[in-house]
Amino acid sequence: MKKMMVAGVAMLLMLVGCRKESDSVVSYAFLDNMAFAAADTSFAAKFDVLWKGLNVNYALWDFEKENGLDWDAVYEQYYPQFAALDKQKGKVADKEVMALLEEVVAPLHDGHLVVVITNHTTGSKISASPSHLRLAKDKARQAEYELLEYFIPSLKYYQAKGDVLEYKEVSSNPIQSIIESATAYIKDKVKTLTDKDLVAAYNKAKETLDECGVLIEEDNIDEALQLYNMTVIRYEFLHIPGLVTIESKLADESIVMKYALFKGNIAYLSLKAYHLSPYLDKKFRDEDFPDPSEYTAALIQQVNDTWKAWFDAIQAHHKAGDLGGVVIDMRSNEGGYLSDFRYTVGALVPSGGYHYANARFKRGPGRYDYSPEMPQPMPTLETEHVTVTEPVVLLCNCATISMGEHTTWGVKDLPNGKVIGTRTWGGLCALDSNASYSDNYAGFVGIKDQTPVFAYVPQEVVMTKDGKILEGTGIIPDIELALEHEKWNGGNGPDNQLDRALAFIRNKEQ
Amino acid sequence: MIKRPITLAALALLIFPLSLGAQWKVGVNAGALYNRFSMDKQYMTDYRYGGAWGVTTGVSAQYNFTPWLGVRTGLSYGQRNYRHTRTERADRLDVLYRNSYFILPVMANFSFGGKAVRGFTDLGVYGGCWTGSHRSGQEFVSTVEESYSFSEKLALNPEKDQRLDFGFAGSMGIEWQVASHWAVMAEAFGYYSVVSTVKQYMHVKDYRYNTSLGLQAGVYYKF
Repeated sequence: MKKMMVAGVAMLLMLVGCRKESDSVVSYAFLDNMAFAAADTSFAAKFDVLWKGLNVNYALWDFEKENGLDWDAVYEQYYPQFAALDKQKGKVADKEVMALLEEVVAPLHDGHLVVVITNHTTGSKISASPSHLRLAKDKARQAEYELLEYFIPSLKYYQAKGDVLEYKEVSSNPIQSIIESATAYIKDKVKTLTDKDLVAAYNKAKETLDECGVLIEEDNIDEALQLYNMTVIRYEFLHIPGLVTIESKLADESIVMKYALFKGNIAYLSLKAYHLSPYLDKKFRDEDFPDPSEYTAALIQQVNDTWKAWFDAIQAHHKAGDLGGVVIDMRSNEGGYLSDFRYTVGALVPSGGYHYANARFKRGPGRYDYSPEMPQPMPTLETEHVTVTEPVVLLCNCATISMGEHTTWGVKDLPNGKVIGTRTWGGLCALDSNASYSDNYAGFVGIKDQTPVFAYVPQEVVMTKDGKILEGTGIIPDIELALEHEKWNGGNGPDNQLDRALAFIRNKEQ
Repeated sequence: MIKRPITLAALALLIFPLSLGAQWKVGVNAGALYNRFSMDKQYMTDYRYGGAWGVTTGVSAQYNFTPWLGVRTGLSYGQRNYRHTRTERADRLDVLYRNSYFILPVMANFSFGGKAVRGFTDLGVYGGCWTGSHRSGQEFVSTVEESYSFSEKLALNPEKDQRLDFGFAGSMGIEWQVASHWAVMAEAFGYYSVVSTVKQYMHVKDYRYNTSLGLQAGVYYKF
């Protein structure tokens, strides 16, 4: 009996021994010492984190393979090169690290992907984005992007022409305009003062506000806002008109929105970023601005008024049968909340979700472990509204990114939709925070500004209903037309893309 | 030179059973197969890869050298299914993977008991071929918080999916002689795979295995 038991156990061990153990994979979504400790002081370990993190979290591997990328070959080729950096004595030049990092990420197609690693020998943050590397190779597109990255449409030419029947606009992050009016006030005020200390205080306040202006120009909004609010508090005793503190959420969720009703009842809406929900949706608003200042409350009202003016114009004129059409201006829209879709295209189509794209998620530790391709119905307005059957024209450009591209795609898929402009950025896959990592066990690698490696990675893959992936390519408009930037002249001249949209609606110009 | 030993072995195989009353039997069998899928889910702690039942059917042939020793083989179709679910977000994921395999076991057969009713046990190896995959169930689109029911054929990925399988096979059962040439049998059997269902296509090694236990009944015709 004993012999039989020994034989049985031996046989079981033999069976179990025939199976191999998988390599251990750790999560890079949280601040986990085991995952990042080695990467603090080693370039090879940084590369290892990046490679393995992307291997699990990135959901485009089959697409990358089709495009010729062998991710394992990347490991074989670059791990020794990063390891060689560890052997260098003294500081490793940022340029050298950057060159290697760029080579690693360049073949990837995701339009949002940005990788940031810390050069521990210099303390510098080195970042690389495949989209920007692709852009750098296309000189014409790069030139267009440089012109249009911060483009904000202007309707003053059309207002002056008398082509605009109604107009409203809102800017939720008007530090620049507050700074301009405050510094103008200080300049005048100091001329009337004799008290040297008071003059010095005013001048010091102006100096700090000028610094904020420089930070804004450098697009360093968070720092600008911090410095601005400190200045407001420090110089409160000067009672500078309009100089009020601004909530930091307003910088994160800045909004520039313009509504116009053009002649022929064409309802126009432009949006620089998709940050509408925090202002228009009570649930979001209560979370983001639980105790809004007077300034913020007024701003929330302004955003509501502007969007509602556009929405009401569409409802009223459609019901009256004299709506000419709708223009949605997504040029240089930098993206934002997916839930905002209901306030633009989602407000023009029937309730119940608008399906124009499919989504796919990671579903396991393997590079090719994916969910099925599933319909991703975008949010629609669930309150009563008309379905717009009149022409809907969308304007886009190479700086139309993420949700801006989703809107473009949504209009392109409408039977009454037309897209005018230039090819969009090519970054449609949605991202979420580290907190949502376990929703799909996909997304960011590391934590921004905290871990030695951080990769801004989407949680999903978005594709057309027939499975085509547009990452790195973007959406090609129905009518390709570049902005005549010189003629536009900062909004003082005609906007040929907008003209084409108006002509399409008014004259049925195909 | 090589031909001679082979000829001798063939003759021995023919003469040995004739002298000991050896016999062939062939049969058909069908039943249910419960498969358990093993993989390292790493830190994805709320994922569950649970076992699932499938069907199995096939033909088998047995050649007995002696009344108590034979060799059994056959060809069977079996579904080696499993379920992928979550514990933390149970309503979000419940997917049944149905995997079709053709399996060819070669086992030594040991039998014991009387003439009419005999017990048996088989031990051996099997080779298999994964011929197709299908999945169905409930998924979740987290970006828009929508559930999605689906049923789809899953194309095998030649880079990732290992179609060929190999492992250990075994069974235990009872055979009942119901007529001079006919017998029925019932058995519990199992396949223990030692070949990963995924090829090692990644620098990070990832091994996944099937373990299948089945119950089936069959009928034999004895020559």
